[in-house]
Amino acid sequence: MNIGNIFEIQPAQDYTLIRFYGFIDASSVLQIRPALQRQLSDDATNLIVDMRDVGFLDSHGIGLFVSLLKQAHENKGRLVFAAAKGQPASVLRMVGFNGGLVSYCATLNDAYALFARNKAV
Amino acid sequence: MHADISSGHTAAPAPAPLTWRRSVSRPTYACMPALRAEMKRFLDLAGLPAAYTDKLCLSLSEVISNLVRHPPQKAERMDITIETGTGGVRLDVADDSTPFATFDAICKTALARMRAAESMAENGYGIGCVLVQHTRVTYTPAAQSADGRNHFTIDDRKANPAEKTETPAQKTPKRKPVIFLVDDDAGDLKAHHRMLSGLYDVVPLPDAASALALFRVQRPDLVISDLHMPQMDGTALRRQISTLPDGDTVPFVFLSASSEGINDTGILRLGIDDYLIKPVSTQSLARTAARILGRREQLGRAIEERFHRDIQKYLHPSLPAAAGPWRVTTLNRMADVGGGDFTLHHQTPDGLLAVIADVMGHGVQAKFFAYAYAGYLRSLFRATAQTTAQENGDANTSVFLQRLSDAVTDDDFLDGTLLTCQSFHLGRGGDVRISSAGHPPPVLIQGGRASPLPVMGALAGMAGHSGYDEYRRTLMRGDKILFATDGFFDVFTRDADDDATTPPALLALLDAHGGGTGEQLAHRLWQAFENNIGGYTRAVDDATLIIAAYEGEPL
Repeated sequence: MNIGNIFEIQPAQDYTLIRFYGFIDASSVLQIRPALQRQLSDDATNLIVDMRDVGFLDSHGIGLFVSLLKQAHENKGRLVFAAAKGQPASVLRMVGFNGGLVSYCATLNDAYALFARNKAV
Repeated sequence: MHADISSGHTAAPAPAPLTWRRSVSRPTYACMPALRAEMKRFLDLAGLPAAYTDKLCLSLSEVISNLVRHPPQKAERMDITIETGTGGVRLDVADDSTPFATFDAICKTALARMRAAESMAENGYGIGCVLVQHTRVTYTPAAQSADGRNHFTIDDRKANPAEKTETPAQKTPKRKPVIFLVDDDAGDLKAHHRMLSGLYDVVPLPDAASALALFRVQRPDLVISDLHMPQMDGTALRRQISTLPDGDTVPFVFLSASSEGINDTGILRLGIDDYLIKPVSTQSLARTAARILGRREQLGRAIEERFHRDIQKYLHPSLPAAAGPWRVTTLNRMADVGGGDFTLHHQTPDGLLAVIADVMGHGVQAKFFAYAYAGYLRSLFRATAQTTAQENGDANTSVFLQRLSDAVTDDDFLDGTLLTCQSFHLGRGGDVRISSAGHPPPVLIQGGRASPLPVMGALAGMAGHSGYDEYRRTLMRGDKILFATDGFFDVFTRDADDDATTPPALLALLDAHGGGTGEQLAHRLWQAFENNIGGYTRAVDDATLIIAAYEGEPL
């Protein structure tokens, strides 16, 4: 489903893909947060956050991602960021969302493969 | 209030000299995308690289978000100014909202959150994002600024050698001293006002009652009052002001039409600073005001310096040079105006239990809190060291941090003051144990190679009653461990070190010089620190370095 031009949720067998668009800042997060709470299943475990169409990310966006991270962890799943570039990639790196506690994949295919591999294991 | 405390920074390259200004009425979140886009176009035009532009766009976004979200009284107007030039870039956001009262504390919390992944919160990254990206971030509340507005300033200009010893207090725009001029004679009041108004911020008041009422809400630097006035005269005004908080510290000058009665014992006992006989000349009035205000400033500075010296003497970090098979070198530089590093130690049956702590904040206030904290922790540390030794048979570094954190959480005074802290035990057989509360990771120097140890932990108090891990390792003869505070690490931090827990420049130095004794290494590092700090404007923080070298058990 596509919520305006802000984000889109695509459930798959091994993960749920959330594709964000445009700016993720104080203004847009006010709209995204309640919509995401309504649209994202409470039992979604593995999440892939598709960043390829995100042009700007600030601390409010990071706050939103922390909420998603908590949900994934509570459901014994993982959160993976994928395909960020430019300013959003720098911000993810700055707050440590580029490996370690939170996984990061350069491409969406890498992210899909990560969950497929985990499933195989 | 200043936040020159960032751990990583980006000095902007030299762009073209341009200025960009935008005013926004009643800013909201909705104005941010357009402002960012416009600012980006300007920075592109000035020739700044995209990576730097991205960082400044993020910082502007965070500053505006804070202004929109937090002040109880929202800004009616916000003015953004960006100046670019050969020295770099300066961004200033001026506003008229309720000022942030605890800016330093907010900064430290935000930085701690940025550093400690385990204390992640949904909010609080914003200011941290700003701090870690820029060389100098300052916040000047309206009461301290020249134009009566709050100023949030990001200054990525290269350090001006003339500024390198400048203190935050000196960087604040100098305000004119405020003089209350009290006289019931309208002619005299007008004439004296004219004589002083170019030099001082003069408030003319027609009677003592008005002066007293205003004194309750605004504290002047000097009161010049006519002695003889109807209803309440000058002496009654002086007595009344003396009963108000800090009232007796404000200097007072009487004006009188005659010298008759001015030497009365009653008047002299009031503690006035001078008196002048009317008519007064511009020269004598201005000279008297300048002399008294100058003396007052001099006294204030002397008291502050003495206080600072006394505290430094008390806090001065030091550890025993030898603890069994360990050799310990402690070097420290106390900042002129801020910071608050201190160490504590306790000899255990098996070795040395020590704590290195850094109280956050700048200025005399931070020093005072460090002083208070050190006294409190000294008692807590002794009691905890003894208790844990009795309970566990040896010293436990995490137990101390846990008890400290519990104490901070439960105490209103301590809860408002933040510190990073590292507790370590240097034991027999090269056994070393470390626990950390938001402190920079220690660095192991082993076989000529330096590597940061995975010890971080949440800030004291932030984790509440949740517990700290104890990192344990056995060192070989010749191995060393470096412990240091932010003030030391900061001067080795370079533009591209955003992701590094320990500055690569420091690791390179350790790799190059790690082979000698611990004392040699400490002094080489300190020399590099002193060299780096030469043109460094962030020398407003204390810096402490400890090298613990394991020399092996005696044969």
